[in-house]
Amino acid sequence: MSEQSHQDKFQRLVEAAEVLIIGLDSRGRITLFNQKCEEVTGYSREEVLGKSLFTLLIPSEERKDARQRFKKLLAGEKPKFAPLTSWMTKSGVQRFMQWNTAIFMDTDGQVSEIYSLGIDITKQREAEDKLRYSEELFRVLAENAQDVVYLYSILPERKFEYVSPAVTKVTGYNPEEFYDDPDLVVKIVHPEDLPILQGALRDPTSFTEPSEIRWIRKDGDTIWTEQQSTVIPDEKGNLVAVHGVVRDITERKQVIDEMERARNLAEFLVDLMAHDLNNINQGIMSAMEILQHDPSFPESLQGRLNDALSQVERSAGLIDSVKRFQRVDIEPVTLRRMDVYPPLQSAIEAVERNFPTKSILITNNIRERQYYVTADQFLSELFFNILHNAAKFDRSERVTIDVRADLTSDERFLRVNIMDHGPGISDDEKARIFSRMTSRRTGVRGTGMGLTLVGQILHRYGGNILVADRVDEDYTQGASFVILLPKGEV
Amino acid sequence: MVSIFIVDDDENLHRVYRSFFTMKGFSVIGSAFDGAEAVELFVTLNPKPDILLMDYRMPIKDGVTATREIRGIDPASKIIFLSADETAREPALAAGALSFLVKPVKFVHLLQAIDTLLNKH
Repeated sequence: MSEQSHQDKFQRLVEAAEVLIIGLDSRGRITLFNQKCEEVTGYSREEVLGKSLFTLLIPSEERKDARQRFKKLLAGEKPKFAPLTSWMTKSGVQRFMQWNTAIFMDTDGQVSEIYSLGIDITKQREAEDKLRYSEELFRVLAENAQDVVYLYSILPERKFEYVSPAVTKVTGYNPEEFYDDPDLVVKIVHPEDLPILQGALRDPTSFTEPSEIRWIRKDGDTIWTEQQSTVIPDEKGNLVAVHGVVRDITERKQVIDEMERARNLAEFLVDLMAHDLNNINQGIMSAMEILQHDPSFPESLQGRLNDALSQVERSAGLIDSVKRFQRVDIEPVTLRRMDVYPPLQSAIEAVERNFPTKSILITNNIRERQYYVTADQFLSELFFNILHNAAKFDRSERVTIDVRADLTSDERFLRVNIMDHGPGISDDEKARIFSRMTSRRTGVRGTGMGLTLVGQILHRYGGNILVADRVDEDYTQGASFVILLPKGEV
Repeated sequence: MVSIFIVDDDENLHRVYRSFFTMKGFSVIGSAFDGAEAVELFVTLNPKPDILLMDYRMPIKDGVTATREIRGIDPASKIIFLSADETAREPALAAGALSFLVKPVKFVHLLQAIDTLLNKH
């Protein structure tokens, strides 16, 4: 094969190569620049041939090092690994290359040509940078987190791959102690909670829900932890590791326990008060009723006796309100779509029964199955309290209350307007009523407990209440309570 | 004459109930201060009372247990449960009480309950 034919073949090979091929003379001037080099740098062959590699393509900050390496190469020193350099493209973008270099000598033993084959590793380099950044970010987060972050391998052997430094603060043991003894995590578990952890170690998939486990610290104190874990399977589906976060929830548990104790105490006290006071009320009421029926009891004192009896009834009523208040407070909220008519009707009937000496006329424009709201069993209680107040504060013997309902313009709420003909509520008193409703401060006099209960029930429903005058600008003509109840969605 | 048996741990209530029923011409034929005493006494009573008034929270044996045992002894016994604890309503009626009134109870309502039981049964 002729010399020319060899050259042609070599040329075609160089051009077709998917790698960068560059030729340099002993002064670093470019003698060969293949198509791939053109593609990557944006320079044409004509633009680079004869120019110095260092000044044209090597970024200025790397130039000195690159020249140094080139000198060593000329001196016959072979690089220990494929050197990494970066090139600056024509448009000013930095790209990273990894090179393999071959040196050709002339007959005098002097370097005549240098050929380098390179691959563009910019994308790989960027991916590595991103990974390095993520790892660094994770390390900073993990090392500074209050929670313990860990990676525990299951296969091929059980051991901690990583435990964050927070473990020392939480358990009193440092990360090295966990690395040295993979079973330490089991040893420090409170004996009563051991089955939870053992179950999790047998079947790590069961450990993906947050678990509350007690640990015994190095100093002997018991702490509560919340553990949230994720299992890592290999490509065959075998579980190879578990990583997760352990949070010290001791303080949270203590607060919850204290709240529970306070709630139990409150329930106990309400129960005690309700039961024992009503037994006492029974004794007083019965004794007074006997006097009422005793023919020898002086007629002139009957009025006083009736007053005393009504006070006992009020006391019993207050106790009843406290019990209902407590029931609304502790009953879990489960709202449902319900017809507003039956609870309203039952409240109307209850109010009529409560005032046997008054003539109570309650009109309403709501029909059965006409309006549905999102509420629960306390809806009747809500209507009862407002209607009861309206009837109570109307001093006349004939009490008229009008109940009107319609949907708000956005159709999200049912508006129930309860209008009375009582003495009305001044603007000052309106503000006080609302502060009582929202602050849950109650008074034993007047409407305190009843309206506080109304506020509490509406809070359950996400409803609202407004107080206005029945006749605009004249509060003395009676009050108008507008209740907004979320419409019942089908 | 209607005969009454009062079961309540409150001595004061025994006094006022007794005064009232005597005034109304009823006969109080027995009094017990706890559930155990009520059951023991009920066994010995002959004839049995027309009406038993039963409290709930009492020492030794509560009113629900006593009601169940008394109804076991005499299924025809008419027990009116009187309690300040509304949560006792369901277990009391399940144990065999025929009526449940929440304390404080007005005598007029108590008489109505007695009347209803005596006429119905």
